[in-house]
Amino acid sequence: MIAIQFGHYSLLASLVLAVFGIGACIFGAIKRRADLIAAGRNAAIGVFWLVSGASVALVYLLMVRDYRVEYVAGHVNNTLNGFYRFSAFWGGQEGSLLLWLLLLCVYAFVVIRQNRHRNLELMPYVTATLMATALFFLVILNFVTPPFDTLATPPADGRGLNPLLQDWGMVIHPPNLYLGYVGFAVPFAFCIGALASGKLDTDWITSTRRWTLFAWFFNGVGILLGGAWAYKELGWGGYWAWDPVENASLMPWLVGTAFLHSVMIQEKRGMLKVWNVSLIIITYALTIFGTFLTRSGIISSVHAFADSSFGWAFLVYLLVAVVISFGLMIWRLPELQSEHEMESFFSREASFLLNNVVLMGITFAVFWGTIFPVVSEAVKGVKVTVGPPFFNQVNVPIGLLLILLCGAGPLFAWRRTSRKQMNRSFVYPSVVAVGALVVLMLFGVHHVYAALAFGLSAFVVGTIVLEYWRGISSRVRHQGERIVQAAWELTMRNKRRFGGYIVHLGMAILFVGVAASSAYQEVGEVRLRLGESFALNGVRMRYEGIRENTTPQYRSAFARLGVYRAGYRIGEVEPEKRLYFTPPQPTTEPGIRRGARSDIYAVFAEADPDGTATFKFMVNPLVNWVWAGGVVFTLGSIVCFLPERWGRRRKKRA
Amino acid sequence: MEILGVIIATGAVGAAFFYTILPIMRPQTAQGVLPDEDSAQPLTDREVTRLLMEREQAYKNIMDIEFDKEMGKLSDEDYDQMMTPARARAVGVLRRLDARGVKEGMAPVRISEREAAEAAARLETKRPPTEKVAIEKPHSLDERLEAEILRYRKQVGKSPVELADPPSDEQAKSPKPRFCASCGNAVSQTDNFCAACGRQLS
Repeated sequence: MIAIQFGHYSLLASLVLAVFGIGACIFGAIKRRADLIAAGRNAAIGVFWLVSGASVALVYLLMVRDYRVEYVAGHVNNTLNGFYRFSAFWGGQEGSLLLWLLLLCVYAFVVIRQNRHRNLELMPYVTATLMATALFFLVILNFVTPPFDTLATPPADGRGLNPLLQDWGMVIHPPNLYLGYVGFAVPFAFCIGALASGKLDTDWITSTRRWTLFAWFFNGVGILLGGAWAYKELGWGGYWAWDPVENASLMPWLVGTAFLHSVMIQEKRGMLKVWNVSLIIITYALTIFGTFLTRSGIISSVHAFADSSFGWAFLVYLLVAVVISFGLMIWRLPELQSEHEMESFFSREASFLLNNVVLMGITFAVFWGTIFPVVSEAVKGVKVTVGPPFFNQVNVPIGLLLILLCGAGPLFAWRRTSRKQMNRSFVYPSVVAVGALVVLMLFGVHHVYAALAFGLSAFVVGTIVLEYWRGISSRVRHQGERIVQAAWELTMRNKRRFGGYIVHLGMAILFVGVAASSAYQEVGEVRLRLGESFALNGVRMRYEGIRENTTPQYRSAFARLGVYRAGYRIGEVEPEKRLYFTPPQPTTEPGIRRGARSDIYAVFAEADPDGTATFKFMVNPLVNWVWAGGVVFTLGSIVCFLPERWGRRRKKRA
Repeated sequence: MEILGVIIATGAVGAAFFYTILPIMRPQTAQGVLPDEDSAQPLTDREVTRLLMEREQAYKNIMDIEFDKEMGKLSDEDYDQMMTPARARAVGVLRRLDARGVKEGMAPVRISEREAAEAAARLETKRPPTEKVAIEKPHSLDERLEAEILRYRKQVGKSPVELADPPSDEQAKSPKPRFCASCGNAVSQTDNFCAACGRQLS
């Protein structure tokens, strides 16, 4: 009971403190009252401690299975192990909203600590903006979906966690995505701080560069982990289905990517100030929109929580946030003029701008495809389903242009690049791309989009190799370093630039995986008797038997399939069919034999009493390149994130 | 148990409220949350803010040109064409900041005066004496630019071009800026007339 009351009153007190904090910060900043600003800051710190306390209380209640609490009774049961009881914290509506709020408060606390002695003009507004976001979630958690509501008669056993969420991927995917989603609130808050205070230099950008990178990285990793979970858990053989909630997580990442590129133009050339402000406002709005999509129940998705009645609250908040943000931007327009003009189309800034246009184009296409069913239902009364064909048809050509820019951008100099230098820079990557294309076509790659994706990815790799080669040879020449040392020093002394190149490399690898696994996936559905086999794309699968297993949570049946290639047994896969006891729900766990060339993917659809079984087989070429690309993407992001002086060789004193 | 819960919750909430209103009760605890008016740049001085931003961008621009040159993206001709106005622009900004009495190293490039003096002294000792010219100390501005860029690199943690050693005196001198002999305004190598006073340039 102590934890229940503590959690309940902490959230209520946090709401009061957040309201006070917003008022004190804004009023204090306008009147230049240090005591009020400090009180507002302390209120934000108080909110952090109280929300942390409430979160610990909820985790405690889940761990001890206190079924008096409605949320606990609805999301854990007597057989659920400690790992999943902990993850039930974000397994339901109320808990996941509390996690959103908790991360926001942690970020606010860290931002306040980081900026004790700097950005003093901005900080009152930054704190107020972060607290305004927190206030919205506190209103919902206090008055709409309270996580500490109790039941009049507690049940003897809980309803348990959704079986689909009982997977390690689902345990780490939501917090990862939230780390990113919520993280975008920090650069947004600094942007609002800059607009409100009139301190419109690049300080708000440089101060939040790492925060933006942090949010963008976790958003990206969250998307990839979601894909890995879908591939391993949902049993349809893919990792991305243009599901509305997948789209909702992709959109802020795309705009965030545009923002990360375009801020460089503002930092270096003092251009695109209005554009950058707009981008971060849109990114923030899209994170709220994404949360709205999962909560509102207006779309049907594998990710969506049960229909809830408070979707309107998100829309109202979204509207208020967007109107205030863009209102501030319009108010400051005269001070947001560009200091320079674009000198040449053949320049780094022009390529970044084009990359921004392309990314925004993809975002708009995804946004439109996502909301179109809702719009059509509202306007015509008919819910039109927008599926993968629309998204693929629109986004694949734009995506190819994006890969091209990934490779071309680094080859341009800032301001302008002469034709002669451009020819010199482009020749090697182009030769690599054309060479790769010719070789692949000779080996039978005739799918136009896939071939273009492979060729353009080769172009990106060629560019990165060329950039490294130029840098390394310069260091070897001037510093007398060995090649490996020169490569390390080059990366460590230019973390942002070369970390970015490593991210580009990861994206190129990922694109190859996506193109191959989409264009050349082979699918077969077959009914087999014991001992019979089925061949698909040179792989033969033989049905060898069934074994059963029972755990406290579920009963399952495994079908054993021997895998043969060119007559040789190369292993076996065991797709599984489970029936969970509470809640009673069947699930399929695919059997996957992973390989660098292709994955063999088998789904056990059903078994009949006569001994026959129905299977769905898939051969997914290069799908592991998607995950490998994700690992390289992670490495590159870490390089960008490292402190400026980390990893650099110290110069010897003479 | 219920009473204990209420007591603990009240205690935690009370502590948070007390912590919040503490700065209002004791204003001395709120020191340092507002910028120090003496050292900070006044927000009303938009022109100085703009110039300081411009100076920072001028330095970054010079470093980027050097990097692109080193990476083979700029020919010698392009490099000279881009570097000359870039340096002239930086010198022009320094002069305008001087005219407004803005100290060296002032935000957004935050470097101590001592570091500035040391960097300038190092350059002075390396550089051969330059011939005297009739205009108002143009060479000192040029050297100051070198020193400022060097210090700027130090501040942002990047060596010149992040590849090679700092440019030699020979390299540093090659794209030497020009100044109007009449008004001292920085002009580019290709200008025939001063943009500020209109005087024909020799």
